[in-house]
Amino acid sequence: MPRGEFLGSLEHVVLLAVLRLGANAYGVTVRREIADRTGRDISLGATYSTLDRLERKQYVKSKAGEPTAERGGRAKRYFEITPAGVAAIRVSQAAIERMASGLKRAWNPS
Amino acid sequence: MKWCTAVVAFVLPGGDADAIAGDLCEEYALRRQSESAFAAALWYGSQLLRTLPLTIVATLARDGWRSVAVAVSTYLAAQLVEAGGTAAILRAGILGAARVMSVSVAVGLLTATLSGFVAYRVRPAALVALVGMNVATVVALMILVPTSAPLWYQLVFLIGSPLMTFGGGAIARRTHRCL
Repeated sequence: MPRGEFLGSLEHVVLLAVLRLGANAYGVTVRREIADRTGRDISLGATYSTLDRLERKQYVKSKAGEPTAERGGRAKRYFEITPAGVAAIRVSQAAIERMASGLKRAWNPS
Repeated sequence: MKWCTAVVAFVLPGGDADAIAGDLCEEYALRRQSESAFAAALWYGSQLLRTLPLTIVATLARDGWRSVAVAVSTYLAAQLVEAGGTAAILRAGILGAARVMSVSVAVGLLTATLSGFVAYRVRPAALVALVGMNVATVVALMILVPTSAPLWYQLVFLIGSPLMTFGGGAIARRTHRCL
């Protein structure tokens, strides 16, 4: 991962959601996965602008699905994590773990 | 909801328009299974309000602001055509003073349609920027010089101008698909 391109918090969460969802990662499922796991209700616009940014950084790639009737005849846009995206998560996750190391008692005294 | 999805897909600029409109439609249908129609519609509206500005800004930024340049050029050209057209009709002297306002409205709305058509054909994402400029101009005039024209005249432009601009874009989209 090039220097200066660390993941933002939303990018990190969205990338993890795409990784978790595998072949079924598209706008609705990514948004719902984040809401279910973090309680964070992000808009579809924020989801797509983050996914677009990740695609420009080549951390995800996308392809159009087939149009379906329940979507008003409109196609899904499926996202898939790339090897560079996996590497970005690894680096970001490791940085957070190093920063948090030894601090657990500070926010969880019991 | 079908017409609403179609409008959303049209208003949203860029390649994500269809996917976002479809996602909104799908999640609305999911919510309708567990929520009232009102609650689901409320969710739909709030998502739309939160999604539109983000998507428009993201598309314009991704486009390297070329869409804004196209919108500004189209807007300026439309202003020239509108002013020239109105002046020519007035100079011909075939209308009484009472009809001048009506002619001005007709020329203005026709020009808005034409500019929407041209903007969409040159760069589809420019259409939303152009509509934004039209609305901003009318609102600014209404606030800064409220007595410059009768209220009905201002309201016709406030509502009619964005509608006709989108209409021009719709014609461009339809004819483009047919070609």
